[in-house]
Order: sequence, then C-alpha cells, then structure tokens
Amino acid sequence: MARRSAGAIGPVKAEIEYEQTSEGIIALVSVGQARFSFRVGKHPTGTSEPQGAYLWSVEESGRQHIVQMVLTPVAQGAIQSAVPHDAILISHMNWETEFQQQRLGRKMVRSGLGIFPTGEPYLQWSMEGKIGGSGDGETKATGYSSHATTFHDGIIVLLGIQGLGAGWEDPSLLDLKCWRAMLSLFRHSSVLKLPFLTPKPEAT
Amino acid sequence: MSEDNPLPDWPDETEAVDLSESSAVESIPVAELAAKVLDEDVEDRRYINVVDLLHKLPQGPAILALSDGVTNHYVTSTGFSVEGRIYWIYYQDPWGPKRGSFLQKGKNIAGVEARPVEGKPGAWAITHEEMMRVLDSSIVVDGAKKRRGDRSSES
Repeated sequence: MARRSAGAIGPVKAEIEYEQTSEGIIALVSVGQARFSFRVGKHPTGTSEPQGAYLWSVEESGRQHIVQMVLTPVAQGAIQSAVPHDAILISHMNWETEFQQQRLGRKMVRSGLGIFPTGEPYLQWSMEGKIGGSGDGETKATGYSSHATTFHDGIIVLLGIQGLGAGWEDPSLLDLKCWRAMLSLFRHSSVLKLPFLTPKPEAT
Repeated sequence: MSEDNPLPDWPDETEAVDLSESSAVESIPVAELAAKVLDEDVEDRRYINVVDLLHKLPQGPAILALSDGVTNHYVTSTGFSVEGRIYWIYYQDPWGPKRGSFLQKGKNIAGVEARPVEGKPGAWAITHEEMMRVLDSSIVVDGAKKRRGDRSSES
C-alpha cells in the first residue's frame, strides 16, 4: 500500500536495535536525527518490513497480536511553520483514516488526544472493518485495530496494534496494548529542551 | 542518587532531565478505560496506572497506596524525572530518615530497591518498573499546591 499525505514524504527506513529488559523487548529506533525507543512486547516471534511498515508478531497474555510501526517524515516547511504539532498529528490522522475508509472500507470508531508524562501530545484512534487475508488455515486478524501517532524530530511515528486469532472479543484490549506501546515511547536526543517545573522532593 | 546504586546505563546522547508540567491538552482517560479490561492483562494495566500517576504529579503531591502482596503501606510522592527509558518517581516515606523506607532493599518482598535521594533526608526514588510492582492506587492531595491557573492569576 503506497503511503503519502500532504506535506509528508515517506515512509522512511530506520535502523533498529533491540534490548531485552524486564518490561520485555525494547526497539531502539534511529531515523535521521530522530532517536526513540518503545516496548514491542514480551515475546516477539518475528518481524517483517513490507512496503515501509515495520511489523512484529507478538505473543502476550495468551494471545497474538501484530505491532506495526510506520515512520513518515514531514516536509521541512511544515515543521518550521507555526502549525502546532498536535495539529500536524490530527491532519495526519484525518488523512490516514480517510485513506483506510476509501481504500479498505474501514471506518474510524473512536479517537482521542493524549499527552505523555513529558507533555508531548499523541493521538490515538481505532478503526473497524474487514481485513484481508481470509484464506483457510490462516490466523485471522481482528477487524478492530488501534493506532496512535506522535511527532518527534520531524518524524510522525505511527504505532498500530492488530489482534490475531482468538481472545480479542473485547476491543478495549487492543486499545490497551496500543496505549502501552505508545506510552512506552521515550524520545532520545542530545538536547532535551524541557522546562523544569516538576515539583522536586523536599527535605522534611 | 546514592553512589551505591548507580543509575542504569543508556545508549549515548541521553541526558537526565526534569519534566514539564502537563500541557493544557486534556488527556484521554487511559487509566479509567484500562480498569475495565480483563485481569489477565494486569501488567499493561499496571503500566497505565503508573503513567496515570505521572500525569497527576504536576498537580501536586500524591498519596500512594502500596502493597508488596503481604504488607500495605502509604507514602507521599512529590515528583518524577526521566533518565533514558526510566521514569524515576520520588517519594517521602512516613517511616522517617532513621527507619528508612518500606521500599528499601530487604524491607519488602516485591524486590523493590528504593534509592535514597542525596541531600534530601527521608526522600527516596524508585523506577517506574518497580512502582508497577507495588502501586495499588494514588490520589492527589487536593489543595496542597495551587493549580497552574491559580498561580498564573497571581502574577
């Protein structure tokens, strides 16, 4: 599936390293100036990179799911403009959801704007509709999928969760997986320009 | 941090920083929605609950209900910072500087090893992963700190 949107060029390739931690497998992603990491899951069983989307198959909590990552650089002009980053995210979400609706007949069923503890925004939305790959013997993907995007160093980072097989009757489970993946995303750069406002521990 | 418990390493070009207050953007109620899902995803729920605590802390100190599965305890969390992939969560333990903390190594059965904060008697820090093991619930101390809107109106 070709991907493009107004003001965006992409997708791009990334260098990915992995680290085993007590929380599970962490993907360390480098693309241009952007460096970030996020939790893929406890037991990733495989990875692939079809058409610019990075996919990991994960077994966790007795169920299988797919973690998807798509990296889309935003045109320099859009970054330098006064457009807030959450507006860029919303624009990207609108394009993505309209694209899926027109091409795949899927529809957006829910969306929300969230913030990381560090104050940066992210968007989360869910899609519903038939997914391809219905051959006999295949592990079928759930019609419901959960997605989240954030903006980091000129890159729109999209993480998506798609259920595989049984055990996903409650769509909230997929949303929870998606939140966990997105909220586990840490930005890494040589200069972190954050205001110092968090209350400090004080002596009693 | 205590030199006896050095912070874990993270790949190059990472600095420890204090965190900003939450922006004015309203957060989606992840913790509220996470509470509705099945118990078998308890680890995901615990992570969301800790992130929810981090969201609350810029509003003021929070009372944390902790448990290691056998013993219950309450502490007051005062803030957090980030280093690499770790959120360090700071708290004051009512046991006081002489007795130490329930979350010190050997004083709980959850395997949590709280680090004393240098120069801050009675102040401790644990990682978000450790907090996931012991946090039951949290509540912001209402009125303990003026909200951002109140502060801005003073200036």
